[in-house]
Amino acid sequence: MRSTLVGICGILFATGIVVAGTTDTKNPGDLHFKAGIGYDFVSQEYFYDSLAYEDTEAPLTSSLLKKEYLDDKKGLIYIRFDDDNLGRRMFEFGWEQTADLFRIIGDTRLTVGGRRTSVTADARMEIKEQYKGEAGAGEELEVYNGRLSLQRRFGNRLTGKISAFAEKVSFDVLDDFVYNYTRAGGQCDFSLFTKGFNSIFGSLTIERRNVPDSANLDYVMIRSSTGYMGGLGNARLSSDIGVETKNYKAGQDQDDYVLLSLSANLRVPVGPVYFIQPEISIEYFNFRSELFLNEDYSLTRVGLMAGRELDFLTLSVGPEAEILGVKNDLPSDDDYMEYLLSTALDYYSFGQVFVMFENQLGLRTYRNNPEYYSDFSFNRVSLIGNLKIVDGLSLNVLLSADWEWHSVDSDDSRLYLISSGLTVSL
Amino acid sequence: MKIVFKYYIMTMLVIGLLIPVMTSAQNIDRARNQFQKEYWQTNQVINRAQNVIEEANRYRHLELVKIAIDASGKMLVQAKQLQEKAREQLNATNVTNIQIGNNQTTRARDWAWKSINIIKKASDKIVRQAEENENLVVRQLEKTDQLINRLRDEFKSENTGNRMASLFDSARENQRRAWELYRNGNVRPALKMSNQAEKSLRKIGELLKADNKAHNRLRNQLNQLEIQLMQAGESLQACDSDEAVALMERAQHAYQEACNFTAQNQPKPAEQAIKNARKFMRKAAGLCSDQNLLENRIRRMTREMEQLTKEIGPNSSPAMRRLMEEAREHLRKATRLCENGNKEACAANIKAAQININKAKRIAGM
Repeated sequence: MRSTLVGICGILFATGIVVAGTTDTKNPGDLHFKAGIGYDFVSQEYFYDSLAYEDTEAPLTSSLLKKEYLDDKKGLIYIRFDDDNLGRRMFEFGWEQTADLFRIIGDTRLTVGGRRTSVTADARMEIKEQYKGEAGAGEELEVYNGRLSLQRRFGNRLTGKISAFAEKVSFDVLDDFVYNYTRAGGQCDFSLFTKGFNSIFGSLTIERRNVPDSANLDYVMIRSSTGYMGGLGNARLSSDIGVETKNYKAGQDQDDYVLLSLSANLRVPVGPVYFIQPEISIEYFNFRSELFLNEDYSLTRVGLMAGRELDFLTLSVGPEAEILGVKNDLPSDDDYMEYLLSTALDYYSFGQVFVMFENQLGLRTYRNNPEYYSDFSFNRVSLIGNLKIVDGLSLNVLLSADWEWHSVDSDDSRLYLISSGLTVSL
Repeated sequence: MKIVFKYYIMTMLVIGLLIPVMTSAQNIDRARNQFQKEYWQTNQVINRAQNVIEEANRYRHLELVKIAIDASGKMLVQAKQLQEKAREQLNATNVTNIQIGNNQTTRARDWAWKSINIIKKASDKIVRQAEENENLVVRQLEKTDQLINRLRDEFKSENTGNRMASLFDSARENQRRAWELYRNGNVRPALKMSNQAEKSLRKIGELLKADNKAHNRLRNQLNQLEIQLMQAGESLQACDSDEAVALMERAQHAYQEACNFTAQNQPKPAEQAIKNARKFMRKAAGLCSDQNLLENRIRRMTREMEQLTKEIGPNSSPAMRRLMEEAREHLRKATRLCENGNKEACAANIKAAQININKAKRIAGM
């Protein structure tokens, strides 16, 4: 397996160089190299009120304690050929290596046609292989996906696009929860530009998933959405409404649902530098079955941010609330209300520095005093940053941390995500 | 009469004895009914717990659910045992036993509820992890994928260069990792990671739009600057200022730099170069304005007179000296008039000075 992979990589690597070298030798800017180091870490800690389980305390508690999903120090090298720097004809090959596994990534895009009609083919592959120690379920995988799209402009304002897509995911080691699957489907999109560059867009997707080892997990999904992005008076509105239905092959309508969703975000300028930004999002899941895990529920989020825009800096602060309501004959344990104060800072200076920082401090209260849930306060911090140190040398960072402090101490939980990379691009 | 009284007393005694007995029997019936009602409610909860365990068995392949099912099963056994004991008291004829049965069935119901809740909680941790279920995570992942595709198209259609490519690449990389976490069943970290990727992609989208606007604005500014440079170049042909010519060359150079920076998608240095070009062009135009032209001519004629005085030397004729003195006087007047903004009188004095100088040159045979 490993030698096959290395062989495939070698061929891809050579192909990349040959294609890049022979297509346009006069323009070396079309060929990009990227190399670097990185560190990824994902960890979750959560605890349970073990007293509730008496003699089952030990195994249950140990199953629910800290878990590290990812802890990789890696080296990486990428080569990309992009003949006009517009991504119309692009080939990318990447190799990432940690102390015990390697990952190979291939990505291509080919667009033919002009401004009026064009056809785009996208293909992507990823192979992850562990060469040291015994790989657990889900740790070695192969992913292949592709998409073929035909895009056509009707006049200057209307654009239509139809696509067909497919994906195959397979793991070397399976368990009942980590399963191979294929997905395939089609999609139609349209976008209509009105005066003033406002845009109305819509999409219809049909997808079928096939899980060879468990027919119950096969499904057919249909999703439709439409939205508007553009001006509303002197404000800017971004909104969409959608409906989605998923029909699993399992009997008794198990897990089948219809989802209705709505989201809207309005940014209203107040003077030359200040703005307010009300936003709302509603999701309603309606399950067809009466199984206990298939309870209908709605999730509503509302927020009102206010902020100031400076040259490169945007600061905003405001309250948000989230309400989960579960439809149940009895008062549901899951019903909750969450209140939070969100503070955000974005900084961007012409490709040198990019920083997005957000902090959410809040409280969640469960409405029906559930026996096994406890109210908690939380702090959620996220930082996304990109710093161009010198030409070609850049640092990427993603940090995310959630802390939950429960009224029952033993329910406290933490989630940490770190993803970072220091890369040189030529 | 005695007999009647005797019967009356006996009847009253019987009634007196029967009433408490009948009342007690009614109380027992009421308590039993209440107990039976509690008992059937407990039965319903036990049946529900039984169903919950059966349904949860579908997820038994998940270690945590398996453990929870086992724990739940033990709790349900406790519930059933207590309920069985309670059942034995269903036909009890005394209040004490009915109360014992009632207590047993209530405890049995508590165990049955615990049995339900332990599975619900465990499956929530796995399947829904509080508010995040698998469907939500998949939708989030697909939403972020769509955003990536849309942005890719924008990268394709707009000449954005590589300035945001590294941001875009790292967002794609985080999304790829989110999918990997999801495929391994780690839904909550997957959701979090994909949310972060979406957030940075949305910001990149905003920046792309702003960048395109800035690019278009630069293009417009460059077009305007090009026209202004052409017009200024034409008007400078009439101006004989070397300094102005040099400044115009610097303006042309700055314009070229601005074009190059714009092509390389470096708006900040491009804007600076445009500013420089405008600054040099303004200075050159200033030098060639009417006022400056007159002042230049005064300076040039002053130099010319100094040169002429040196060349003629001490042997000049009185007429020549007079002409030169008059020319100096005209230039002094011209300077004063120009300073006061009286351009016409200034120009007339310059012209008069020039006539005197020309006459002096003719006398000197130059």
